[in-house]
Amino acid sequence: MNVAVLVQQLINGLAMGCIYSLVALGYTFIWNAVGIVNLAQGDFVTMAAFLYAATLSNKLGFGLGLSLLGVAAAMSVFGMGAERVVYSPLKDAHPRAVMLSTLALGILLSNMYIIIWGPYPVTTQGPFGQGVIHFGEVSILKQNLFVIVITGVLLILQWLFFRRTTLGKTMRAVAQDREAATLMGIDTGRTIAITFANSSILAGIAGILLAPLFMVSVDLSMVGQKGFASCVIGGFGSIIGATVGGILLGTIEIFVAGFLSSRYKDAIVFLILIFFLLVRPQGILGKKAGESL
Amino acid sequence: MTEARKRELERTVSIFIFFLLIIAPIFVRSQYPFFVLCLAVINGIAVMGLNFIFGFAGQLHLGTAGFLGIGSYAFSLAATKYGWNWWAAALLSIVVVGIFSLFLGFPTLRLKRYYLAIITIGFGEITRSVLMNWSSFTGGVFGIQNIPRPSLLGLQFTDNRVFYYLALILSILLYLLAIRIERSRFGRALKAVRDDELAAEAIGMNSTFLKVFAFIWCGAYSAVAGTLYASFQQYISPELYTQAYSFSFVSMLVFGGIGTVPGALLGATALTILMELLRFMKQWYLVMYAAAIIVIIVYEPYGLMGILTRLRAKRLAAAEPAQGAREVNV
Repeated sequence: MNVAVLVQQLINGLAMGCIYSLVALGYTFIWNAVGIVNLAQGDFVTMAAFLYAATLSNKLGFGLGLSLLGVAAAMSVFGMGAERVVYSPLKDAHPRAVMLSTLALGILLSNMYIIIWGPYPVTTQGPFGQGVIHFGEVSILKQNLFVIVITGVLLILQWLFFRRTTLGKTMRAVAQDREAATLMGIDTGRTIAITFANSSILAGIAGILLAPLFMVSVDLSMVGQKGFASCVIGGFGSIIGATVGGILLGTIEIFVAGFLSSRYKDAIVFLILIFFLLVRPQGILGKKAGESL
Repeated sequence: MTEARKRELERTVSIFIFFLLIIAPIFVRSQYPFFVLCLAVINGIAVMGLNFIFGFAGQLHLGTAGFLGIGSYAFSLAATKYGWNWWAAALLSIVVVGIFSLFLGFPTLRLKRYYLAIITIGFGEITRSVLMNWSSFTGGVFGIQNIPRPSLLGLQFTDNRVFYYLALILSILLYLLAIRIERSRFGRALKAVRDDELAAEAIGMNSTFLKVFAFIWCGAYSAVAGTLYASFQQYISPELYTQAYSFSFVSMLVFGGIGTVPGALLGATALTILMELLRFMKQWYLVMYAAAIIVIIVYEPYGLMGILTRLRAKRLAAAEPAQGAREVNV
């Protein structure tokens, strides 16, 4: 095994990990705001991937910038709509009822995709096609570099959004203590809807980044599982944890596929997840106190 | 409504369902509807199992198909490849699924977060992919053929009708067992954990143990359902054990009434038949299904049993004041 292959795999892993991080952040924001795991998160990613690959890119011939804007707009509207349907009517019910309704939403969506976009996987070129950049012996897919750069920019934007804007601060306040936020005059219902929108946009961008790398089909919702695993590994509820967990998971996965077994990579990653739950349920960056109800 | 009244209603509902299932073969002559009927009984067992963990312990379990698949495969491999006796293979299936339940349940249910839901989704997907890929052992995409039917005391269950009644008898026995468990100390403790885990722990209950044990019960029921399915079809392949299949068990329970054993039976029987009737709608039927689940959770969280309970309570309320009035007159 030479160094070039190692570096190449590392970059591939990083790119995959960036996508998992975006999905994981989507879970984290919703978890922090309302204390539920959105079981339809993976299907949100698939929706954006289909929307981008089948409709915007292949059919309408939109460029990348326009597609990004289109998907972000569609996903934010969709996210708020989803909140109205599956969370808002159940906000006083037990979290398991909400999770069940997000699951039902996921099933509903994945079958709608088959109705709308057909049962066959869709492929799309993306902005770079199969273009490769060479650094000496190391050759890297341009799309993978693009994924890493876009994720980096997005993380900075998210950070600025939560630190510097009133809306972002409002969202943090609601996540910290919903009752206190309400008493301070924050419209929590609206803030939660925007949290859902934000998570959906992150899922949407993950979908756009994934679409050129994989065949777009309903099976893509598997990244929802991986995003969740990233949250657990990094520490559920921790924003940095979700990011680190995602990157770690993506890298582990690529190395498992490359050097152990590509057939059983999902099974091996799952075992790692179970191992984490057993040994360090609070995740790498989680606090012990995170275990309370 | 009092506890006694509720039990009375539950008994009425379950007797009604079992009565219908017993007499149904008289009216069902052709092959396919009969197959659906048998499936309804088998699904009923799986949903009663799901009710232990989801209904009584309140933990969302979305991987029933995976456990059913492991049960089917453990039984079928033992019965075909290794030539085990039918009943021994069935027992092995329960043990194997029980071990898997422990393996998955302990790390997950120990934590107080709702991890089980997503962990079981992942588990279901991985089970299917392993069954598919490990072809030297499981037969891969081709599955397993010539799975035997049981025999007992020289009696052969090769005839579909006879097999149906065997499954139905097992279902009735498992129903009675589930009711026993529900009313036992363990069952009541489980419900206490579901309703308030911290309070239950504060009075000395070991919530991890209770939840894991409920999960193992669920696994055992799934194993029986998986065994019966494999033996009835005499052929299995990994294609069957999908996430949509797991979801259909959850929706059966939600539709019938979460947390009641007759509700599980009612939902499984009604939806299995409805699902087959709507199968011509292809993707749309799952869309409708999912939409129906959201509507039920929002408006009638206890499903059909909830509606029946309310109707019964209304009837009783209408009847009882009259009775009271008479007493005053006397």
